Amino acid sequence: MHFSAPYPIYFGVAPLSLFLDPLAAIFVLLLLTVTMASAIFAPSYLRHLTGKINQSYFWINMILFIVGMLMVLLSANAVTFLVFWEIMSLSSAALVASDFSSHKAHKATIIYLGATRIATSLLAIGFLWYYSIFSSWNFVDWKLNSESLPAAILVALGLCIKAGIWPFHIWLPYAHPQAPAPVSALMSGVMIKVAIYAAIRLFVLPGSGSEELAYLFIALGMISALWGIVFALIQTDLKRLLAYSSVENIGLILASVGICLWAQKTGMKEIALISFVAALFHSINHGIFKSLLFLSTGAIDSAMHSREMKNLGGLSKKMPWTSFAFLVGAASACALPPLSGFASKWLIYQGFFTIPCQWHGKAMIGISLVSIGLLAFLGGLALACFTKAFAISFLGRPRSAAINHAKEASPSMLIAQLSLTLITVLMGLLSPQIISFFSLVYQSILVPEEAAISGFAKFVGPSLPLLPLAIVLTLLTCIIYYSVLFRKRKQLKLSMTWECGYGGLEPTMQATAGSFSHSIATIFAPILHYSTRFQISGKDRRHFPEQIQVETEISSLLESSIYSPIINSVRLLSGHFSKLQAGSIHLYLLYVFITLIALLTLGAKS
Amino acid sequence: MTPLEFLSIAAAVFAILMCGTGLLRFNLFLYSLQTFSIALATIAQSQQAKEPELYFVAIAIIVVKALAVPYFLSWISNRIDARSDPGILIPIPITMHAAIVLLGISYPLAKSLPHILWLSDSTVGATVAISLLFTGTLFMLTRRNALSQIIGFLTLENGIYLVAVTCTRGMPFIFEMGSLLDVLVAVMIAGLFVFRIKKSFEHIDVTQLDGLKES
Amino acid sequence: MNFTEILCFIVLFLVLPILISGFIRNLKARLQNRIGSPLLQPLYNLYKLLQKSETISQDASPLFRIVPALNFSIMLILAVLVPWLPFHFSLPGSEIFLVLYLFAAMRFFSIIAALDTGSPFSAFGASREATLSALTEPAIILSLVALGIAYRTSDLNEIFSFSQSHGLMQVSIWLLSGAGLFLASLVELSRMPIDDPTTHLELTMVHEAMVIENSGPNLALIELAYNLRLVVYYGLSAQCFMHALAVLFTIDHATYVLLSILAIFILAFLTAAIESFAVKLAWRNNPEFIAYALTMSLLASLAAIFQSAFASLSLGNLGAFL
Repeated sequence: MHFSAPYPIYFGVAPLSLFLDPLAAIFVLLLLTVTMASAIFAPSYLRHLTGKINQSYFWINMILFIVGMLMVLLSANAVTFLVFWEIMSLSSAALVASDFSSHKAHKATIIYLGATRIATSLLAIGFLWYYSIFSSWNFVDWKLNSESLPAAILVALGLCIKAGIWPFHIWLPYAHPQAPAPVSALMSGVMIKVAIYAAIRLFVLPGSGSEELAYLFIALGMISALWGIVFALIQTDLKRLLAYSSVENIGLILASVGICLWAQKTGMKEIALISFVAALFHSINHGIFKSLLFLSTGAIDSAMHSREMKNLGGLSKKMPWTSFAFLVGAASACALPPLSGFASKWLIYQGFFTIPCQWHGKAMIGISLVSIGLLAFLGGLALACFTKAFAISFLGRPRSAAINHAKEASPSMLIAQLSLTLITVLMGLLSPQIISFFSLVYQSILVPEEAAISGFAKFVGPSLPLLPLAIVLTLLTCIIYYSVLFRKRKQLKLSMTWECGYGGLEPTMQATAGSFSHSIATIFAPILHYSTRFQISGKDRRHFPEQIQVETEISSLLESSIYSPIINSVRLLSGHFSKLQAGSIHLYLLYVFITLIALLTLGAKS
Repeated sequence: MTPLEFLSIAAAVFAILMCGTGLLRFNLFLYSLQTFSIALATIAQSQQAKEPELYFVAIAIIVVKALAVPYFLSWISNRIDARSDPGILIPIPITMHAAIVLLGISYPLAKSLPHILWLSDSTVGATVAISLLFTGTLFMLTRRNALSQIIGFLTLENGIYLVAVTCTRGMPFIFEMGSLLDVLVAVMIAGLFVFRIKKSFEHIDVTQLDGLKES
Repeated sequence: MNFTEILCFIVLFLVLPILISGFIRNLKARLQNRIGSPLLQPLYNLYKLLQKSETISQDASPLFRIVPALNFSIMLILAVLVPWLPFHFSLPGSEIFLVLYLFAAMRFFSIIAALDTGSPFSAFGASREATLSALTEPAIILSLVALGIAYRTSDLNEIFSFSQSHGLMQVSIWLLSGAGLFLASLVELSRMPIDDPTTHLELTMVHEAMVIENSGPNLALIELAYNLRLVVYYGLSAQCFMHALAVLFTIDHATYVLLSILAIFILAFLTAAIESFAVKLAWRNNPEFIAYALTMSLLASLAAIFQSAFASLSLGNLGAFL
């Protein structure tokens, strides 16, 4: 479907033109699903923020944000894209800033705005470059060849900033905790996917692929994945944890896009298809389960007025449905079968695995092997991360008195969460159908050879029997539970948790988020700058401590040794530049004069 | 895969496994296994190339490099009470995985070497030889202990020997024996040095050698 | 698969888990000059636990009692999917990544159940389990992927079916993968030298600390799942070694089956020997041990890649490869 606005509606050089192909439609569907859930969720969520957030301000920006994303997905040319991209970026920045009063929100907004400014300028330069090569603003005319590669790399970097790819992910963990939960859900679930969508449209759809971009994407993607999950693991704020986990997932998606580009370039049609479907499917899945997790966190926030795991605990008794939704989301984020996260992770694995099997591309074989090992490692870390997130906040004993006032989230909040939960489960169970649908999308856009498609269809169906697996698993569990455990429920004795017989096991003695991740954090101590200090005080300090103080310190290698020097030097430079702005009207007139002369001489030369 | 190739790959694998531990005794044991498989590879080569004098070389290698030298070094490590090496630069497990990556890289490197001097199927031998060179250097780079430096050097030497055996038509017998003797003497001298250094400085940490510059 | 084979599978499936863990216990006792418990002691223990009533923490959520049942049923499914015995149900879903993520699912739920009671001890165990499994996962996946690359499929049944290939390369792939799997399984099953299953100090345990709050039938299910997991892991590594043997010698099927069972017992013997003679590693030295598992699997995948390189060379792709 194609729509071009009539003449007067022009963005300077190109008309407002929109079109809808299956690829855009899939992303629009994701956007609408998450929007629906967020919209149902938001009204009762905002109630606990009364006085902090202005409702009308929130809704106006929310609508602008959603419309911006929708139009970016639909835009057919670069100018339309850029205009709505800006609307999307600015309105989301406004949403991040919606709690004006807090200092943190200011900092987050500044960082986020900085990131979006750089992203947009890179995109603008790249688009102009593209235009100078192909003399068209339409995405359809833009090819990927050696001539347009520099422009493509610029655009790719711009998109990477928006997607939160390492080393540009810095804004994510600042912006997400500040934004209200429905906004975080949209930002993490959909907005960063919009960047992936643009990458697919600009680089994958031309069909020619590119090895340079592929290597860039795979390297950045795998590093982001590792970096993101390691940082997610050590967070104690639930929303920051989820934000870092988004960095991980978006990294995996980008790596898949990279594989797809490489396979297109080298003519491995089957691998291109697998990794394209993997990227698409994982985008959708991550969009759904991450929004679900953000909404559940919002529900916790509105019940407990805290997202710090040190204040949570024992919530599953007060909020059973929310904890169920969070559990399913966490399991899906860990890619546990038969949920949707597994289906797409499986495809990503298959994309890497097929490369050495088909024996093609020497360097790529090494890369894919290392990537498979890394993916497994990431899987293990994600498991640690999400078991921590779920268990520390929902299980165990309550760590703060706020639990007494906590109650289950309101029906509308529950409907939003449970509908997303249902979608996650269904997408997992129906994954063979969804995968073959996505491969049809690829086929309809790019038409690879029939052979590759039929081979793909043959191997997907039987390898992913998630529906029968789920049925058998549920049946077996029920049978075993009822036959072994349920019949003994009468004899069940409740007692206190084992405390070596000393008595008085305080809730604060439970594992905390920090202590749970300590043993992994020590492994990554060099990149986390992780250090722990113990201070034991008391008379005979070793045997009879009176007070033990443990302090852990974490600072990101990137922020401390790369970004702050850069920001400092920029600040220094801008200090010098600000001298130019002296406030004297005569000086300004002099600038105008000098500029005029400079322009005239330049014009005369050419 | 011929027995020669299998044995030389086994040597590379033992060298890689050697990188994964900081315990000197275990290092020496794996070094001795590595040398042993190189000696067996020599025997395989002597059958293949019909050079009977290589038998003597192999026996000499087993006696000198696979038994005497490790025994001597472990005796020294016992005497000066140096049992393990904490490592430097990168963690010890990562050294081992880096060595595997280097083994992977040595294959294309070996392929790109000129083929003029070579016997027909020496690619695997050359790969292993290059990988032994890499592994030995990596081992020396990532360890602090002076004894580990000797072990790394010996691994490197094994690599050079393997190049000679698999890639050239074989050096004259007398050269082989001579170089073997050199190694023996070098190890003896190095061992004595370690002994003296330990006595004078009370440690054998090579990272602290830069303290000598001033005096 | 014919009727006798199914019967054999069911018998072994029922008998081996009990027998192997009893065998390890007995052998360890004998190596320490004790007479030891009878071979069927695990069975008696299970019976005893099933008869007992259950005591659970008052802070536990319903998950605490559902998880053992769930994990046991996942393990039952895995025991059918994974070709740990030389019989193959040609079921769909016996696939490297699915199987490994089912194992991961078990781990996910057991960690959650361990943290459920708020006990600091089980939290220790859970944290360590999470760390160890993150470190071991690459080793396990790469040793299976190496086999997958060698046979160009990710279907475990196809990989472990009898193949007509020969050559030392094939042998080394199987051996290295088997070694990688075995070393990784020592970590996965929290055996020595990573974790001492017989220790009684809560602070140093991994698996035992995680289930410290479970009792009665609840604990019985966990123990049963553990024994089954042990046999499946050992059986899988034994199959790797057996395939290496089958490449070298021609073995008829009946002997092969007997030898595979023998191989599982040999691995159990090895475990008992390690547990009697080795000391438990300090926690910070564990990564060094796990690194060896990863090394084995990396070498296996390197061998698999070289093998496919040579295969494609002989197919006349020489020019393309160079």
